[in-house]
Amino acid sequence: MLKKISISKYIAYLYLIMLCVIWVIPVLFGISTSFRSQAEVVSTGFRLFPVNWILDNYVTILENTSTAPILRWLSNSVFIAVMHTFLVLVIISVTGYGYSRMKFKGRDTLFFTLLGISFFPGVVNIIPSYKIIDVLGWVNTAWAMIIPGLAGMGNIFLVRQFLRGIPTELDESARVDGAGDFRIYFWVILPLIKPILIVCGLFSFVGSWNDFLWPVIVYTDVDKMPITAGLLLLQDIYGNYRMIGQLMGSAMLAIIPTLLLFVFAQKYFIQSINLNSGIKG
Amino acid sequence: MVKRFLYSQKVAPYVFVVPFVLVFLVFWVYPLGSSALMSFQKVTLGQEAAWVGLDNYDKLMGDGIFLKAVINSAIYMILTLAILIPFPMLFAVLINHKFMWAREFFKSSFFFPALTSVVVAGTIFRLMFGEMEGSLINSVLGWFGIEPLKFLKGQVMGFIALIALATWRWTGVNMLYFLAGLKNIPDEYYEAASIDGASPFQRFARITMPLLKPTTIYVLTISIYAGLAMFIESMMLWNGNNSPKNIGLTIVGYLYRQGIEKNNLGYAAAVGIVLLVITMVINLTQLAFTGMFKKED
Repeated sequence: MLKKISISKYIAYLYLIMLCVIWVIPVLFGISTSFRSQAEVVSTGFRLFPVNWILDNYVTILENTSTAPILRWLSNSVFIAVMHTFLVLVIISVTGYGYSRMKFKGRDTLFFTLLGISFFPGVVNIIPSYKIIDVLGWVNTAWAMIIPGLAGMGNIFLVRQFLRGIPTELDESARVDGAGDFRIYFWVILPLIKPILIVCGLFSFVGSWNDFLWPVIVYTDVDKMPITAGLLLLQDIYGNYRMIGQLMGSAMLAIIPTLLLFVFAQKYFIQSINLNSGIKG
Repeated sequence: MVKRFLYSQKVAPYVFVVPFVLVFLVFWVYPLGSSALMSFQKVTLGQEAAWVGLDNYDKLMGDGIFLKAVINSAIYMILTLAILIPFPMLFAVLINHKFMWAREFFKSSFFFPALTSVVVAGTIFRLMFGEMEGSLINSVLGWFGIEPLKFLKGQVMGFIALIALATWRWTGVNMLYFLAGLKNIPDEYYEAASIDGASPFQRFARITMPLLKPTTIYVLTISIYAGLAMFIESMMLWNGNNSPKNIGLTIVGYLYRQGIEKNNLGYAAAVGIVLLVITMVINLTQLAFTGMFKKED
């Protein structure tokens, strides 16, 4: 009996390890390609490591500040993702408090009505949303990417669920001591919901950083766009198969921030993923 | 005075709830309504919209390219469901096994692709599935003596690349959903079953599967949405929205082509509304079939 368990255990291990190797290959392939010359990429077949390691691709990428200012794009993306995440955290904590702790007529009906409407695939909205952004004068500005995404219900649902699991004794005793809703929200509730806010914040940051279709539509100004829209431009600048190393190098620079975030906040990403958490495609 | 007004028990709730409702109305409800309205109009940027009734829908029903897009999206959705539900479930069960070491390592390895944007993942996969002899996949095929393939030129080969990309990015996410579901199953159930002499397969079929049902239904629901709304994966693999003979065209790709590329906004809106109706019908049917509505209340 014991022997049987250990054999199937080793098979399971072998299987999973094999798959994990396959899973890492695309990124290793990307990194390796970004350090190879075009001649080498074309002439030799697939190798995990370059024959000659070169930095030329990265030099070309970073020196091109006119048609493809990649550092500019990265800093635009950082600004957008940080601002967006901050506002998401403010709005979901405030709204989550409202829907779980405050009493007003029709509260739950309103909540579930909004939740129901939010289930439609958002891509249907893309053209009218562009018109709104145009009317607001936000085309080619960071606001176009910071504000519309705040209309998501998924994270509010999570915060509300989380708050429903926390007994109300703490806020009631604060209320007896004379605290109003704003003080209870800020001093009692915010510290309590920190775990769920961290998770929502991380996924909002990654979602904003990786958002692609929307920025491609709202940005035409090369200096204003975030990195994802910039990478699409590069497909033309560095050609389909003409400058493969440069293309890969740019792609690698674009994933460094999210991978760093993953390294430092790994446990929040892989442990607390919960049903209904709102990850954007 | 203003302070007292804001702090009163009657007004305070609205201070907490109204800001989001406003954002939601402007950036979600209004665009949705506007899409619905536009689908009955002929709209071109810079011109007055003209009411055309059901013309757009009429035209869509006889539009062969749209039909092709719907079929592509449907096939993509079915294939992703067939792969991205059973395999992540199996991996979750393996990783969750109590004899398992290095769980975090396995979880991380499967999950991290979800953090790469489609642009990055798409660029990598386009080159991996490139048609040159030296591309990654063709090199590997070469080791087995298989001639280089032109992946992105054919319908079946193109879909293999698309599905590979989706599998790479989403296996880890779905696996984590299943792991979260598995955490809620008490160990005692398995112990009791073992004592009664149930085989591992019986334990999986009689305990794990039924108790994972809510998780499975959730993953199924979001996968149906995601599958039918796929577009940028195809756009990245074919470096634009024009694949040969539309082999990679999807419903949203057609919306993009009509709305953004051809400035045919009313027609594009109709495409969007049809997509919305298709996804809602499939998901509501699926949810009714799996008994989700009964359980909720």
